[in-house]
Amino acid sequence: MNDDLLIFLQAWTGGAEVPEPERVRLLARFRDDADFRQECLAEMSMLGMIHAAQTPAPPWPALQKTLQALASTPADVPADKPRWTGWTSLRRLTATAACTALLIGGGLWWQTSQRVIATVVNDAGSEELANGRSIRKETHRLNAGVVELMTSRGARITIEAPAEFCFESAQRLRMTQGRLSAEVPPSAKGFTVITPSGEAVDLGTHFGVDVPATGAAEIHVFQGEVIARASGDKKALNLQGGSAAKMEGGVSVERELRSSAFIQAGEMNGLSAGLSSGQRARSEAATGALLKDPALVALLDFKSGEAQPGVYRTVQGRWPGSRAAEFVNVGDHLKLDVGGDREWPQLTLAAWVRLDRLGAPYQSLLHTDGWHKGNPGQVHWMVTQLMTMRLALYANTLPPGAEEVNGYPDSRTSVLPEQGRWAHFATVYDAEKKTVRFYLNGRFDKESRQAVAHPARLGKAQVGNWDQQDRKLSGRVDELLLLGRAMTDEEIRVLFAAGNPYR
Amino acid sequence: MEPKDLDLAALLERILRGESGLYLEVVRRHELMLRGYVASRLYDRAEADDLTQEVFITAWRDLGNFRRESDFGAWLRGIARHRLLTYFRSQQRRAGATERFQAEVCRLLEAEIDAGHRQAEAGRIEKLTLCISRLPEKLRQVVNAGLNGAQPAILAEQLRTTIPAVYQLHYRANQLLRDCLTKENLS
Repeated sequence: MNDDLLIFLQAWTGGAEVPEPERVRLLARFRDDADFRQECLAEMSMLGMIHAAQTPAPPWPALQKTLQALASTPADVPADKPRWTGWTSLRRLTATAACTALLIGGGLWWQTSQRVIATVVNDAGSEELANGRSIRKETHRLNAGVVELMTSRGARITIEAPAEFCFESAQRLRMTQGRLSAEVPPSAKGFTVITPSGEAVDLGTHFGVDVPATGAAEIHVFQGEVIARASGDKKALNLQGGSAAKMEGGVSVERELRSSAFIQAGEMNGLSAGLSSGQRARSEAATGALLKDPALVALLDFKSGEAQPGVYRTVQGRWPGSRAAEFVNVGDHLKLDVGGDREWPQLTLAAWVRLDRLGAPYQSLLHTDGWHKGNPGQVHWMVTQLMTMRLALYANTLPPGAEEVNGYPDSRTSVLPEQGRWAHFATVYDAEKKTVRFYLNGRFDKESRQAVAHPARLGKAQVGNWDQQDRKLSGRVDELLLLGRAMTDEEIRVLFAAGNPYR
Repeated sequence: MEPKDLDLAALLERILRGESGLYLEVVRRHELMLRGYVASRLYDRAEADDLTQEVFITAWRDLGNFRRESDFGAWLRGIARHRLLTYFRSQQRRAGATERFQAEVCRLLEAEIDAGHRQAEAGRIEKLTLCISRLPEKLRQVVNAGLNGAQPAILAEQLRTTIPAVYQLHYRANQLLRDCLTKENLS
């Protein structure tokens, strides 16, 4: 295949970007070079034939209706003569012109609604939209899982359940609920997401839109530029990469970016492979075993659907259709009151966490409320501004010469690479051994020694933001475990391996 | 006699006498050819089928003007050519680069009204399905996916290759299909 033919076909099918000067040159050659024109025609004809051969003929609804309409009109010429010839035909046509126009319009409507606007190119646990499914102009409800779509213009859209959306065209997506991330190439510049509270118009970028079941939609721009326009607002807000806005009450207001709140195309393969390899069943088996553990204090897996007290969103967890708590705004938290009736010489804390944002002084995982003088052993578990894990127990002390400079046991490995992905955090406390052991994704990280180690005390606590000032949490928490014994390294490894949503 | 047993002249005669339902038999006989022809000018499967329907509706309306001694297929292709040009003109304002390129190619082919029509004969298209099934797996995958819109990029990702390589694979597949059709016609 010669180069010009290759580029000609790319330009003709629209499968690849061909610069304008190249297009002009190829068209000139197509016009002037008969051999080249025949070569091109042969390929074009074959592509046309393949289309006809591979796809069944449509039912031709507009044509059928036209025939039905005309068949019902009374005969006005003798049966032994052709009914329509020449001017007769034209006269007859005039009478039926409006009808035909309507029907052709009907045909256009039918065709437009049948046009494939996007294709599902990847899915993780979506029952409604399996890989390979064509997306047309129709409303789709996604109850579970995540799907990745490629529009006919080349925009890559990842949508997480629960979601409801409808493509008005390849360049306009209306979303009434759900969370999407979009990677928009130059060919799809101008791609627009319409939400109940406003719209996001892409200017060649990578961005996310969050439309919660209740509340205002948010636009988060990861790269490039997006125009945010709240419904009824004449003023548009230009959002650059690294910024976000909430569209509420007809106004767009800037807010902190939550880039990791969105599942993006790069994460899909791992999630999809995890499901295919049966990870969900392994996770459920591991959870079932934990529920039988006599030392279990609490396992917060949100399975029952019973709402825990607090202010947070219930969103999809690690598995399609599962639930997790999401903390979005300052002050969002979940209240817990467990294990307050006794002391815990040994305690294991573990959780699947998806952190949206780091950098605040502390990302609060679990904070007991009784942290004050005279109440030793109160537990504060968090991620520090150095991106390490910390387990602080009130009135515990580090031994002299400890490497930790902030007075509390901290892990060594940064959790930063896990931002925007589900990660497993675990800490094992043993007051008798005077140790705190940290684990990240099942892997032992570090042991901290304590000089004074009080038995842990639980009771009233908060997951997520604790004091609304420096103990925030931006992200999701799934399957929070409190176990009144020290899990071994191997148990933690197995717990992670069984619950890992990725492969 | 069943409609499928009537020759085209008889079918047209009866349609013109008022048996409009018989027109669907005419459509059935020509839809493969016409869909293939239109799609060879307008490489957008859905748009091509919509336009094919419009051609059939126009042909129905103008059936009284068809000269019996003429080639009905060529007549349909003539309507299609005219409709294609109208379509591209109507799209001009909002068309993207691909549509503009297709429009210009279509315009340049105006003088060659029936160019390539022999390739799009219904018999050849029917045999093409068989030939596609005989393609090696990878080439069959490329042909089945097509080159529409984002498909080349998706295929390139799936096959871990480049977009030009996908076009090369499709070209190779087309060569094998032409060879296969030649053999099938000989046999």
